Amino acid sequence: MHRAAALIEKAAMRRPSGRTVSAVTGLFGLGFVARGFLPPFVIDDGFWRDFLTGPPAAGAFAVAAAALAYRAATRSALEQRRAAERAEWWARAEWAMNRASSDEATERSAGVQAAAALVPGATDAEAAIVSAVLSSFLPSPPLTRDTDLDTSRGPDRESCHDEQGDDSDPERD
Amino acid sequence: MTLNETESWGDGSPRPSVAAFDARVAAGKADPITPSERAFAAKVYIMYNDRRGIPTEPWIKELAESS
Repeated sequence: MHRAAALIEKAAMRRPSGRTVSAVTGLFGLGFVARGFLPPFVIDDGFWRDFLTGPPAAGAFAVAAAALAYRAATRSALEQRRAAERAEWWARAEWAMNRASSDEATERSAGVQAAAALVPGATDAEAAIVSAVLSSFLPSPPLTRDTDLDTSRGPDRESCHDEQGDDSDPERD
Repeated sequence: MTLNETESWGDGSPRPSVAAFDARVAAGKADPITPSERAFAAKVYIMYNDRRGIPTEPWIKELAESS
């Protein structure tokens, strides 16, 4: 990468040789002389009429139609590929979740690990399905920690507990 | 019989029940859930919560890192 950048920078820094300058100048001169032998180029109504009703417009429309067709074909192929990927993912997830529901530890462990490996490539809905299936593996939340995320009462919620364990808000009284 | 399966609903589909699995474990018909399986389930739960932008309970994070 650095080597390519260095080559580009070197080419940009290089000054054109005298042979290149003379060749370009000669081509410009040749074109100017050749143009003198042709009739004057006038853009008038006749030119537009010939342009729009002749081969140039047909060619332009053909190119536009080809571009539209190419875009449609590309999008269709992309959609088909996505659908195939999702179908393949679901087949694997179904296999994994069936194994994860087994009574045998070896088979179940393989299914759980496979399901976990499939989640990063899942859509939100698919991840929700896998998570719902595997949630039965989670134990019940510990009673001593079940309020760890309850920040609605503020960080000093411990002070709301009185000696009898009453949770009533002292400011309300 | 599988992990969450017991009698069926009226339409014949299996009715999920963790209690049925626990009963089968107690009867020796099913292997108990290992800590590794719990850890992987916790990892999935964390990944799902991360997608939703919901904070995960600390005890689940500890469970995921336990194995």
